[in-house]
Amino acid sequence: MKLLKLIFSRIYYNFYSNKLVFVLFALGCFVCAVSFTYLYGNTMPSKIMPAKDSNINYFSFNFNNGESLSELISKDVFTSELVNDVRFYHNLTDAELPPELNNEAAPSFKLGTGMFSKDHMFQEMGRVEFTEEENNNAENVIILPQDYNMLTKQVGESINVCGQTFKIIGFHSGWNQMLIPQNTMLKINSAINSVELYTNKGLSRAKSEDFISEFKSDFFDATVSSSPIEMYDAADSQNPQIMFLLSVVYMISVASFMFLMKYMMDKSRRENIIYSIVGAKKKKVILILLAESSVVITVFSIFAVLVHFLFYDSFFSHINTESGITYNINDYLLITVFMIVLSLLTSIPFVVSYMKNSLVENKIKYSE
Amino acid sequence: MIKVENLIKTYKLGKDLFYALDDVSLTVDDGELVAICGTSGAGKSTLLNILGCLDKADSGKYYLDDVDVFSLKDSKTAKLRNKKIGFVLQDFSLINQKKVDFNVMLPMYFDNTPGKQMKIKADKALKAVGLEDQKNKKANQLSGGQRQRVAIARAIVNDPSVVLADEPTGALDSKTSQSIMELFKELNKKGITVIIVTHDKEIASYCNRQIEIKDGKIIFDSKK
Amino acid sequence: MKSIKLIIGFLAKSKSAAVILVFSYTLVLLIANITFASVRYITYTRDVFVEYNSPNTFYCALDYDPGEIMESDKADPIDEKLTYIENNAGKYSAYQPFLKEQNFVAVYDGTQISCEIYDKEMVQRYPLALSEGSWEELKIESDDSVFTAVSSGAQFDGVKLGSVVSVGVNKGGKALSDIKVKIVGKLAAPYSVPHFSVSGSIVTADYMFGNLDGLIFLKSDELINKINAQSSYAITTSGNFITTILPDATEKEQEEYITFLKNNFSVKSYDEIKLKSDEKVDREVRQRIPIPVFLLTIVSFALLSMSVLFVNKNIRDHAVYYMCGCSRKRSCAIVSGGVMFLGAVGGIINILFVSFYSKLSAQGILNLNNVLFDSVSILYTGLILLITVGTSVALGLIVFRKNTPIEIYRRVE
Repeated sequence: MKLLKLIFSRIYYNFYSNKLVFVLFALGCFVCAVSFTYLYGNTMPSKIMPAKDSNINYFSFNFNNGESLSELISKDVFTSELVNDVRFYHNLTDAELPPELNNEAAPSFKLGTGMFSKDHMFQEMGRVEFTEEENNNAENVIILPQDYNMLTKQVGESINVCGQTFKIIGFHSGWNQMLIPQNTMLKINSAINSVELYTNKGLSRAKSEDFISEFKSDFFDATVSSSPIEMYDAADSQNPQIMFLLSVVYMISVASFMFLMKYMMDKSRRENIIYSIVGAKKKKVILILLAESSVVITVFSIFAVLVHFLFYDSFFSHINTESGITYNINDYLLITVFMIVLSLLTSIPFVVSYMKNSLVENKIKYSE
Repeated sequence: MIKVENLIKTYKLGKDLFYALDDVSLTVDDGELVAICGTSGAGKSTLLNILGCLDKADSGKYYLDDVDVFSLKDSKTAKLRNKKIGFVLQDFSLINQKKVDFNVMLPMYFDNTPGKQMKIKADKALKAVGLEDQKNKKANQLSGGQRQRVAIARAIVNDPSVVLADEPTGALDSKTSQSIMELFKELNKKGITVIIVTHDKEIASYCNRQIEIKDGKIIFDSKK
Repeated sequence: MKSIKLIIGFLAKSKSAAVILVFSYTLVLLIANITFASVRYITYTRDVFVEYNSPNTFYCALDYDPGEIMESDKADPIDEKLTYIENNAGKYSAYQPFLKEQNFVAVYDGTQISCEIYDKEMVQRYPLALSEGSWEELKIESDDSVFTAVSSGAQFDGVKLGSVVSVGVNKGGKALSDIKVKIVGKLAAPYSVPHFSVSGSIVTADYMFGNLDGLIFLKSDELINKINAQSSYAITTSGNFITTILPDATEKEQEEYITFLKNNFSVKSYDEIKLKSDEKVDREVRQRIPIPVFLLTIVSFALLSMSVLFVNKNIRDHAVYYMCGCSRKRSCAIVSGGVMFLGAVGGIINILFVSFYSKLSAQGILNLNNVLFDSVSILYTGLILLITVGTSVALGLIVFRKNTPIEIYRRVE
């Protein structure tokens, strides 16, 4: 308690005797803290990820025993409003592949169908969507992946898949998916080995887990081959590196302002020497000096976090790099703790360099 | 020659007006060695600061070599301080982290003296005070007496017509104080007017003329 | 010299602070300049695309097997393919000529340069800003002794308008015999020209432009023959091109033609490209600008604070200077000089970088892809300097002038 009183009286004295310098130091701490808070939300992968819909809206499942397409398309999970693109795939066997590919070191081609959205289908040549007529009549038309163009097939030509002849209507930008109308796939009746789907917006980790549970409740033997959970895990694993970089940037920024604090320490050198003369241990004096700078930085850092919290919706959210970035109480707590620890670490070299002289040396220095 | 007429200098202390100098008139001829004595707060340092063109009086006149100092602009008074006046203060007023030769050359940084000439003049001034072998040391590596000698060397490097010293021996022991005063006497013999402010009667006794100030007024002048 | 020594002395009071500050300020200003230049480039290409293209424009990409092209014994197999398809396209009522981009590598003054060959329609479609000369002067000469060209990049800075220079067709690293070229125009920064080398699932306007350090020629048989006579493999045609649809054609004719195009190429419409380009500009501004601005704010604040710190640290010394004959004006000049130095070093380095970037890029020493550095960049840097350094000097002087030497003496006493 006595120590705290001493520290606050020193802070008040510093403010009183060096108003401009103190105010600049405080403002500097405030600016660094606001920047750190902003950068935390805009560079940490786990914060940016949920804001980027395109990374966290894709699911892929494998059916270990194969499923029937007619049963699949009746399931609610594929017709819900959440899903805007779903593709069912049958893994082509060697016998089912077009003869032209038999000797190729080709990737595992798949025959697919489903409901394709324009956001995830890119035209390379010809058409990349089936007409209503083609689907209703279960016509043998096919959209090939662009890599297949290596075998010089053109739009309008024919190709043999699963023992049936298909007319090529276009090429899409994928690499191994051959796509046919849904009714045509029903007609062929090949077993569905996998399904890919895109949700119309990004899902949080919790919602992704719910979606996977719901899917697995319908399909017990399905395995997840890709989901947003992996993206979240990958983002989380990158967090420590980014946090380290942020900490370095913060410490360098605060160090620029620590020279102001050091100037105020130099001005109160007389007082520091008197402490030593009246019997305070060197360690205690170091502690007081460290605490003095840390208290000021902590107070203004907390103030900065508060300002960020209060003005987040009205101002800070509008300058974020992604529109969906959010901060929760844990984030603010983590930011505050980090800033306090980092500011302590940054203060140490300044205080130590100040105290490395002996008492007599400091007294001589003071009397200059 | 230094001539001041009816100098008044006041300071506001709350609502009251404090007269640091109250109608002071004084003439110092070339070559005099003058001591201005008085107790603390008498106005001696205020008078010295005005004589040294560091401060201006509220009213009155000040002539230095027939030049009306109060009518001059700051750049002109700076020139006077550079060329005609040398200052020696109690706390030595050296740049402590710099070497002795830098401190002595300092006035020449603000005039047209060429670089080579600066070193020559500095060496000459250091020789006059007996510190030619200390020029490469930092000011804070010297003793009090040596520092005061460096301050004196700086004060005389531009061959001023007057040296003003404010309590030059205040921070020194008696033996060192004696040697400093001997040095001032030597400078005075060479024709430099020396005005020393001191509260120490023993120091004042080294001077040919003693002026006593009390409550901002000259109450005694040994010349009169 | 004496004043410089005193200014150095002003800064030497806290050497480490001065070094950290100068280094940080320079680095942050550089990051900001490069980021702004990059965002300006994306915006510039979007604006140029919108300005010079009509809504019935399509960007088409030929899909081909690179291996097949490499192994072909034809001089320009892509051009042959495109010509063949274009001949078929000509049968459609809505057909408009394909605007193709051809290029070759030449040697000028011992340095390899890129050269673009545009036909007349391309030049008319993209009359990009010239710093000197006119596109009108880029014409087909009656003989093949001199060809007109517009220069692009710093390589031709020293060449006067109207001068005739010699470039050699590059063959296996060697320059073959000269082509005489008369410079009739000089492209203004950012030296970005239609360059259709990039395609993909999503096409934005910046894909359709590329930096050119070289020459732009108008296509003519004489020029092609001249180049082919030196090296038949010199000229390369890009597999991507721009085309439009005849506005007077009926809707059915237009649809048929678009279907033909889509059957032969990957086609992106004007609306698609504009939409994606606008999104990209928004994204770039949103994602890239805030962080440099934050860093610049921190470092500017640090500069402001350091100026006050340095003034406070030097006030006693200036009281001594005053005593030694230094006028207040001179003291203020020394203080201002010291504070200015902290920011000026970074500012000067950045202005030099921006000014000489095009030369460094032309020499191959430095190449930051897709950036726009011009006089506006220098102006922005100057403005930032003026505000930050100006404020720091002003604040430093306010603090300095508040403390007169006599007050300092009294405080010391």
